[in-house]
Amino acid sequence: MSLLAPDHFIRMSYKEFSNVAFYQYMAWMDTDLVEELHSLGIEAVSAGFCEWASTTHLPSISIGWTWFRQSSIGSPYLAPGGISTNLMLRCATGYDLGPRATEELLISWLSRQNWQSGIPITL
Amino acid sequence: MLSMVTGTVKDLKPAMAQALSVYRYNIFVEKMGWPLECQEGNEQDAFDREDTLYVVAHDNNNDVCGCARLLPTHKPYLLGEVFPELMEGAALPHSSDIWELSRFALSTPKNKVLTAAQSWQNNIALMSKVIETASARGARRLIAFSGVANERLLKRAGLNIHRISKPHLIDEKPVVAFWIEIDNQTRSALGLH
Repeated sequence: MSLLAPDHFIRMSYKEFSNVAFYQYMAWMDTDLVEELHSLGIEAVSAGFCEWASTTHLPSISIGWTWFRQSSIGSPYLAPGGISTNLMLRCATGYDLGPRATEELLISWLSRQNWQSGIPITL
Repeated sequence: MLSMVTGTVKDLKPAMAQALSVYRYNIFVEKMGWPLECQEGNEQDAFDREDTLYVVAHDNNNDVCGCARLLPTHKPYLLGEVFPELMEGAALPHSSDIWELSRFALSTPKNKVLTAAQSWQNNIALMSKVIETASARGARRLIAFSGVANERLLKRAGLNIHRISKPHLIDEKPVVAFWIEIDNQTRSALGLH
């Protein structure tokens, strides 16, 4: 069960979150991000943003991240910068896990999702 | 090195207030292509009131090269009046200690070439002044909406921010509403004490 607090975080446990259905809401390329990654020593040929949203809930649970490719046909990787979200995961007793633990769990969750297939391809 | 001035339109020198209006037109209308209803060459809207706070960055020649606008949310503000759909039904704030940040922009000073690190430092300096200015007026949090890339940059800088809902397309660009907490994390990230 979710609870929308005045800070607008959507709060739920990881177990509850795992049962929420998501869809790819947006994905696009960004040339500025490619330049930023180059400055970090990452030889990206393309990069961009990806946004997933929950199919239920209003406001939607929103999860956004950046990606990059090192070759035009290669599989995209998660780019540095973390996950942007309006979700706050809670522990079994109802306390917030905090932004960092929530983000780490979302990255772990994302690693098991097939998000790469929805990323735009450059030719 | 940028200099900053802050205050209401009465606090700014008339020439600086005029230069700010011209700068905003150049950035938001001409460069970014926002379809704003304004006089050609000068960008102002209904939220540029007597009590509106501004942060203006300028170079040694007093040429404006950055800006930000602050509005308390217990009075009309841009997100609440024009773009409430970005909240997806979540309650809009109405509080004297929650301020809206809008019209945030920073550009390279004329005849200067900045490294990526220098541009980054200028962004941090402008955001620091925004936080200082809002905090001095009693703000505990800022609400803002911006392109997703700007949200990410603030997060990368270490500010305590989180989005309110998913991004929405405004003028075909993904825009998201988010909170900026004025707390120890944000102050530390900006080098404020």
